[in-house]
Amino acid sequence: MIEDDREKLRTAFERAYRNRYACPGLEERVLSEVADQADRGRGRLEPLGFATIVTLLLAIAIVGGMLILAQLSQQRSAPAGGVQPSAAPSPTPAGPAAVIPVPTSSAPPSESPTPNPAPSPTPNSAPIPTPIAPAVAIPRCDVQDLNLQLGGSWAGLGQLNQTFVFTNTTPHTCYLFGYPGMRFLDRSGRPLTPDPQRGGAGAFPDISPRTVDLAPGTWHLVGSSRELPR
Amino acid sequence: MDFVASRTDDLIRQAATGDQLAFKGLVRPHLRPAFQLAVTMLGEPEAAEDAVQEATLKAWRHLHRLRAGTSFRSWFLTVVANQCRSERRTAWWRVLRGLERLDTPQATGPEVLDWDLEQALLSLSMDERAAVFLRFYEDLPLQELARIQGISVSGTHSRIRRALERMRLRIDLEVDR
Repeated sequence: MIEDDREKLRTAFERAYRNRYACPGLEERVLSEVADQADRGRGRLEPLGFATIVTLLLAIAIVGGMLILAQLSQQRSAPAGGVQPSAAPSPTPAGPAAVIPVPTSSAPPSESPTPNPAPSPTPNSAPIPTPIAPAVAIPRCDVQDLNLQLGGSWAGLGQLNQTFVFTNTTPHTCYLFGYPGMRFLDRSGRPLTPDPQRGGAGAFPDISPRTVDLAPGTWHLVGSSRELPR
Repeated sequence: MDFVASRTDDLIRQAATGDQLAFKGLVRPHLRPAFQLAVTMLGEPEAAEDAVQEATLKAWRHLHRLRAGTSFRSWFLTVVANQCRSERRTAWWRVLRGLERLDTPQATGPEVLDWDLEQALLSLSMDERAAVFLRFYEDLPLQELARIQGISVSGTHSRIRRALERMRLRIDLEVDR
């Protein structure tokens, strides 16, 4: 029974993908973001080598040991029955989290894997957390991270130009890449053809897709240009 | 076949060490099927491209998690399918849903068949759509499809059967008449 439907479905899928969902240039756009992120040394979460893990654990053990010694000597030198100064916070041992330059924000980047737990004093008995390299990604801006507003618009030379402003509303830096998808609709909500092409046109220069970092509260302008009907 | 498998393994090994060219060689042949899967699941080409782009970045970042002996295609399509499910949960998606499917075709002919198929697909759940696509367009074996969907082989078989029964209600009535 299933086999009977195969050819019909295949043909229909094929036609839909060829006509409505051809999406020319998909591969280049997708891979250019990977190249861009890689060139910036971002986003590659590689497992650390065994030697690095051992070095890291040794460093943690040494730092932890020094802190314990410092605390013991402080306790010895304190007057008996005296009040220990509590205002100075005890320094946090530099664990794996300290080598990850994640922007200081309350919202953890959605792209990051589960943060490494604090180092265990008995590393042999505890499971070793998956370590990650220091080059941790700035996360891509999610839709909920952004506020979208209409910017300026103007017409000229048979073109209607409109700008859009994306503002990062989060407390952390995120990045945008390439062009946003866009569709023009008429008043009744029907899509206008042709579909917008991503790239430079009209008043806007043709800039190849690239990464734009958005610090908290900063914005990025995107323009659209549409030929007016004659 | 062995040559292809060994070439893929080489690319995976090189890409896992951060070789960008190897990663591109590895993932490029799967981008188009990934997009087609995403557009089948999401119904929106722009959202589908975003999902594929995000999934590709995730694959690049987490390639070291790919276990030896696992098919890259299955793994990558799983990442794409998960990304589509994740996109679907966002608030923005609910806004998009309000705008879609307003373009009922006026023409007759192949476009109507496309539209009927789309309507029939839209009557399915997102995972059912993915199953139909992967089985009938990508010709994936049930075992691989089950891995991508995260369910058992028999569950996958039932899912496809159910989906076809529901689609047939629409397609046969509309198209074969």
